This record gives sequence, structure tokens and C-alpha cells, in this order.
Amino acid sequence: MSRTAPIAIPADVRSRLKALRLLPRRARGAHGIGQHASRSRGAGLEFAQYRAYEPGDELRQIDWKLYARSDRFFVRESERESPITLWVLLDATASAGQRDRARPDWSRLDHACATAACLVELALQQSDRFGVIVLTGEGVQLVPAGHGPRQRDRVHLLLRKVQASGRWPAVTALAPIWERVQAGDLLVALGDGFDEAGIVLLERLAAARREVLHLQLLTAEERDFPFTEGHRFRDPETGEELLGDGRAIRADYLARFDTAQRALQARLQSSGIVHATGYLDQPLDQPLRVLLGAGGGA
Amino acid sequence: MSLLYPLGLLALAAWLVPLLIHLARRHQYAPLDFAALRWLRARIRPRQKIRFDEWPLLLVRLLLLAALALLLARPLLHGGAADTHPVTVVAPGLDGTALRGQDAKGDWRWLAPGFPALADAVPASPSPLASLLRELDQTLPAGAPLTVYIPDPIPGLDGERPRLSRAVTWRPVPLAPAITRAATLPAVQVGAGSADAEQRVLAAIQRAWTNQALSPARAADSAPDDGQLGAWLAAGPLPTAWQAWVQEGGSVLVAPGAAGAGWTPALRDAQGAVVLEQRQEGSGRLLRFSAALSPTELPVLRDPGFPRQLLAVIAAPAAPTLAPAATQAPLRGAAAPLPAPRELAPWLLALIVLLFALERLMATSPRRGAGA
Repeated sequence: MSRTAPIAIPADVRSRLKALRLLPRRARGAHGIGQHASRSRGAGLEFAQYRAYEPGDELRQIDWKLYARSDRFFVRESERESPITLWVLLDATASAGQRDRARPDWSRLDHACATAACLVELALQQSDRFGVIVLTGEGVQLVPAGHGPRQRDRVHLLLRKVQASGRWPAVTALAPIWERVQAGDLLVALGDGFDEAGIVLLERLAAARREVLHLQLLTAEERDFPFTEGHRFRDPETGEELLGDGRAIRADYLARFDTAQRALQARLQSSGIVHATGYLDQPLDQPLRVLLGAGGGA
Repeated sequence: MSLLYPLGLLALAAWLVPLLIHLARRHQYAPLDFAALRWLRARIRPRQKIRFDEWPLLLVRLLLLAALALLLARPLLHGGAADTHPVTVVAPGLDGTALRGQDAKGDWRWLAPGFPALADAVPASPSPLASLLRELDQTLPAGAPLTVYIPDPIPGLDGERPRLSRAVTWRPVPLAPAITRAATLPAVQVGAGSADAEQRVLAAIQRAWTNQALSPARAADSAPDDGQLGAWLAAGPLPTAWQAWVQEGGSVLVAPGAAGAGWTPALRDAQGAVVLEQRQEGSGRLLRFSAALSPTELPVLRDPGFPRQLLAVIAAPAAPTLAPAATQAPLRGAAAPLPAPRELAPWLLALIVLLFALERLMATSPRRGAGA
């Protein structure tokens, strides 16, 4: 697979993206001026708290009216709105290379990269910092968080080089994620969600005060199972093969897959991870709307 | 329609090959990437349905094999419209083009081995015309009119007058025979040592034959010339030169009581007693009278017809080779020719080539490659 074409976001998707916003529930910006509630306090519009005067505080920050009432010095603090850091975690294991027979030139990885580009656009709109982490069988490739159009180009450069390969990397290979993704950062995981290790990683990230969103990308064949003939199904990661008659195993598969999906949703929900499912035959922004609409709380 | 070699149809067993290939191909599934494999249950195997995907191609392949098997079985087609167009044959030696005249469409052939067309080269002249006529009659389908141009007198006859299965338009064309054989009468050549009485008898015979005198006697070392009748009537064995001459085809009259076995009677007198005996010697022959060559010993010599009878023994007349063509018109009544069944092999071969081309076309068409 050679993905040399630049990742282009369709015009209609791009126009609908303008209505979307990355609104984290827990993630807080740290420094700088942005659109998100911040833990840094100081001069600003939004009142945060009064605190006792300490030597060294600027005199102009003292609330003189309160001094008149209470005869004590209080410093009025307000919240600042700061940018957050968005991380896009891309699952590029071999299963990401799966594609629908109806659209053989569009793999799950292509869809994930395009979705990642959409997320990057959103972050760029909001002047948020963003970085990308790609998980392949060889390990982790990432673009450190940054901001600005040049950062977007760096991200696109990485996304264009990504090839789907291998299985989910070992836990030790995931150390860069823990180093880079700080507490309070927003992390959107894109992938099929079939890897148990991947879910565990998200749960642990969520437990460690990272705000984690999970966008599961499924092919239309995984959703509909439209096979009516005998096929040799092969797991791209394990290489395991299974001979089955599509018509005969369809109902059983759909029931089991639905159960598994529900279990996954429940599990993620219990960990506080927002979950949405997108399909390869749907527009890019449809699952994002679900994900960010729910995540932002509006 | 019948088959010359019906066992060839056993080749139809080869039908199994494309059928099995076709069915076996069905069971090879291309692997399909499916990441959600763990939710598939392997219990249910795909049904092994007998289904033919590309039945036109299979059909063409089966037809091709059937045609090949039929070719091995060598089919013959009986009956059908026999080709009964009129045929005209011209014996070699006649002027075919002149006889044909303006008739450009008719089937004119030479009455020669193989019956070449009249336009071909004129075949060599001497041919057994009667035998060829019988062959042609059996070769042509029953009912085909036959016209024969034959020279008059007609050569090339054999022991029996031609007897054909059909009425023949018999057209004798007067033509002088190419070879006129001059009848040669033998001359007696006496060897040395013959008695005068014997020489007188021989001289009389010679004079009766050719009205010529006897040539002088020859010695033991000079054999008679070809065409002569040697006469070595002296006692004792035949000289070496004369023996060699006999071996090469000469006829020698030897003394009565000459040794040797295998004498057969050649001439009998009126009473039936053997007068002359002969014995094959190489390619020639030896002749001996039953008694000494004198009228007293051999009374038959007094018979005026004796020289003629002896001549018939010495130089038998050749069998006639010419006859007036009108008398040799073929008789009717021979068995009708069996209708020759037609071989279907050329048509089958053409069909096989066509089917093979079709099969290749279908098997290599890009549409099929895309589908497979």
C-alpha cells in the first residue's frame, strides 16, 4: 500500500467541521491563551476565588472594596482560558489495513488518517496544541505536541508515511505515550478497538487523569457481514484462518459481535472513556459529531 | 453413421478432468482479511455445493473433448446424397481434348491407374483397360452414368470380358494399334555330328515352315542364334556352349533317349502315343523325340500336318491382346458397388480447431480474469 496522495478532507466534511468544537470535560489547559478553562489563575474575566494577600502580590490585584468591608487584604483571582493539548492515538496494526470489498482503495487506516486530519483541523481552529501517536507493530511513532500550521504539516507528513503492519506492540514499547501525554491532556484513540491491550491502555490512561475519547472505526463488512458464499476469513494480525459459509455464520456472527460491542461500550463507559463508532462507508465527521458532542457536553 | 473404432469413445472418460478441475477450483477460497475473526464461529463449514461458475467455458471444454473422442472413434457417415454426376473416361492414347470438345463442365478422366483428370498429364499408354474398367465401376457410386471412350481395336484385355454393374455408353474410337507384331518363324540350326537322314528330315521340316534350306551345321563351341531351334542329335552330352544357350532360353532338340528326369509329353500322334517330350532347363527347354528321327522309326513324320503341330509346340502363338471394341462392350450383371461411407474426420478436425479457438478465447478473456 502506498499512500502518496495528501490527506484531503472533503469539502463538505470541512464545512461541517466548523460547527464542531473540541470541548473537553476534564482536560484543562495549562499555559497560554486559548479557549478552554484553565487551571492557571490570574487576571482575567472569569472570577475564580479570593485568597489572602501574600507579600509579593501586585497591589492592583487587591480587592479594595472587600478590604473596606472586611479590613483584610484579599486578592481577587480569575480563571484564564488556555489551550489544551490534543493527542491523536492511531492504531496502525495490521488489522488497520482491512478494507471493504465495495471500496477496495479505502482501508481502515486511510479512514483513521483522514479522521485524524479532521481532529487536527479542529485543534488548529481552536489554537490548541496537538500531537499524533501512531502505533504499529514496530512500536510507536509520534509527532510531539505543538501548534500552528507547521505542526499540522508535520502531522500530515507522518500520517502519509504510516503503513499498517504487525500486532499491538508490547507494553514496554508504549512508554513514549506515558512520557508525552501529560495528565490533563485530551487523547482521541482511533482504531478498531479489537485489541485487548489497546483497551487496557486507554483504561489506564483514563485512570491517570487523561481525558480519553475512543473512536472505533469499523468496516461496513464488520457491521453488516454481507458475505453469502464460502470464504476463507483470515485475521490479518494473527494469520489465523477460518473457513466459513457466509450465509450460515452471519446471524451468529452479528449476535456475537453486537454483544462484544455492547460489552466494550459498557467497559469504556465505566472507565469514563467516551466512545463512538464510525464506519468506513460513512462521512468522516459523523462519528466525530457523536464523540465531541457528547464529550463537550455542549 | 457408424464408428470404425467404437473403443475410441472410451476417451470420453477424459470428461472427468475438466469437471473435476472445475469443481476443485470452487473449493479454493481466496483469503479475506477480517479483523473481527474472533467473533466468527468455525463450526459451520461452507456447503460443498456442486455449482458451475463458468458453465459456458466448461461446456466448450466438454464439447472439445467429445469431439476429440469422436475423432478417435473414427465416425463414418453412411448414405446421404451419393454423388452421381456423369463420368466420362478416355483410354490413354486417344486425344482427350479433342473428344471433350466444348464440354468443360463434365467430369472427364483418363482410364488409367488412379483415374486422373483429363486436364492432367497423359498417362503412360499400356494399361490393363478391362481391369481398370472394373475398378472404376466399383469406385463410382451406383447410378452414376459412365461413358467410355476406347480405342478400336481395344488393347489391355484380360481373360474375361468386362462385367460391370451399370450400363456403359461404349464409344469405340478407331485407332490403329501402336505396335504390330511381326510373326517370326523359327529356323532349325543343326549341330555337328547329325546323321544325314536326320538332317534330311529337319531340312524338310524347315522347308515346310519357312520354305528355306537348312543352314550349315554348327560346331560344339558355337551355339545357335536367338530365335532358332537347335538340333543336337549326336550321341553324348550337350556341348557346354549349347547348354549355356539353353539355360538362357533356347530350345534344343536332343537325341532320343537323352538322360535326365522330368520329361513331359509335348506332342502325341493320332493314336495317342507320345511323340515329343520336353523338359525345362533353366529358362529354356530340351526336346526329344520318342524315336530316331526317321520316317520308319517315327511314322508321324509322314503326316503332312506334322510340321504345323511341331511349330505349335516350338513357337506357341501369343495370346491375343487386341479385339474389336464392339465385341468387348462390357456386360451387365456385376454386383453393384458398395456405397462408400464418408469419413467425417476432416469436418471433425475443423470443428475441433474451432472449439479450441473458442475455448482459448473464453479462457483468456480479460472479463474472466477480472471475475476470477
